[in-house]
Amino acid sequence: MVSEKLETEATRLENETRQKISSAISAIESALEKWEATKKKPKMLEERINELKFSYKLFIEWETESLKGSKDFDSVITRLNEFENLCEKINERNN
Amino acid sequence: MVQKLKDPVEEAVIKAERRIVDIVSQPIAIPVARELEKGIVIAQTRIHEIVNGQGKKVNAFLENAQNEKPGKRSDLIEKNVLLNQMYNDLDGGNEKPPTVFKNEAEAAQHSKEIYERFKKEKQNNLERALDTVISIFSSSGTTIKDDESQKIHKQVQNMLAKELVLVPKVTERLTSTPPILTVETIEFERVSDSGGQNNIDTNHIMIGQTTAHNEKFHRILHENLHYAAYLGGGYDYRWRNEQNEPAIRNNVIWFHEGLTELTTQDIARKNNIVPDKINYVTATITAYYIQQLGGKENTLKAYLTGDLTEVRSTINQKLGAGTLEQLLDLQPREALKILREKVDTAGIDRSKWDQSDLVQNAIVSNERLSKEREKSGNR
Repeated sequence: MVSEKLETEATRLENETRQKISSAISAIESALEKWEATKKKPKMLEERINELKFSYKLFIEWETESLKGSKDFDSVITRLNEFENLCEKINERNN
Repeated sequence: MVQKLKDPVEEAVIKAERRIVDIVSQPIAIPVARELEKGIVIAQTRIHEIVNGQGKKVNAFLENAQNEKPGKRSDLIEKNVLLNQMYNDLDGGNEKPPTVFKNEAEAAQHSKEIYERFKKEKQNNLERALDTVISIFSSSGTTIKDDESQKIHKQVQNMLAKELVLVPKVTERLTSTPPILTVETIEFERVSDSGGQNNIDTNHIMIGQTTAHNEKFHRILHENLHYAAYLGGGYDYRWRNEQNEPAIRNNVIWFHEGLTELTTQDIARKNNIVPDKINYVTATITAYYIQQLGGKENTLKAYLTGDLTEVRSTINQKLGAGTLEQLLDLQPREALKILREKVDTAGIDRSKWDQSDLVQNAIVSNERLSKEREKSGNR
């Protein structure tokens, strides 16, 4: 039995995470647009752009799942766990 | 038939014109790689904040909810060395811009380069939009001699030496690398909301030609302040939270414009000059509310240095945790709406603020702007 408070907090946390991810997606898109629009792409920035693309893909996947997926407690917790894994993947790649 | 063909062409021209406005409002002095890197750093900062900040929150929640063993992500949380390093770098502001112009003639040459680029961009965009080279637009503007504006510019510089004394590094830097003003013909004004432009990473500020004395003063003061904030680090908003963890939110242009216009209005009124209008109305009212909540001195310091630590702490105490962060993630209209709601919920009386000269003038400016837009739309 899950307490109502815990359930509400999980939903709130997922919404907050989605908002932040959405804002990060916009920032990444803006950087990628600038990159794509540049004719002579500086080689020194290529790796960092690839890192952005890597995070972008993970964020988009998580955001889509969060928007479309079931809203019951177990699904919310699963997605929060997936978010943790996502953070870990990004950190592993960036280190 | 002719009509049918004309519409898409017109649409394409309008689209191209809008794109040009977007492009020309970007400062040109920044080399391509640096501009690209700026975008990358902003995106990386956001990613870093999510991975560390939000990751930490979710981790704590899951540990609590599922009674799991802690620690799995704790090492990730500690790895915010990069963010700390960036934060400390931004704290210093800019000693001086990478490109320094010594006099008006050098700055006017820079204006010329800017116009050349405008022209090229116009052509490129039209080529893309219409698939042909049609030079519809008239030639770009030119720099003109305006002794009155230069005199006002000197007055403004003297004024700022006193008004910005709260942040000595800014007044010192303004003295050692003062901004150079050029006045541009009317063509320039069409691409600038405030009738002026601060060319980032240079000490060159521009205003569009105007005959009204107060409006000249308004534009010159506004652009001088942009430059002052650039020297102090005011373009990169950041704060340390209650756990002393750093956060960075650069590129919140509307907030910066709102604070610039608010400071412009404050300093002008203090010196008995009431500008004829208020630019960036919604952003300025939002900045004014923040000033009322966060304190005048703290808000001015935050504007000039970008360090929002104190203002954020005061506002979040009054309106609830995460309020300032939330506002910075929104667009000005939505931010003002949320801010008003939060002020009301907190039981703070804002009637005096709304009756202030500034807010009332802002409302009048907004109405005037709407009418002008309506008029030009009907043309």
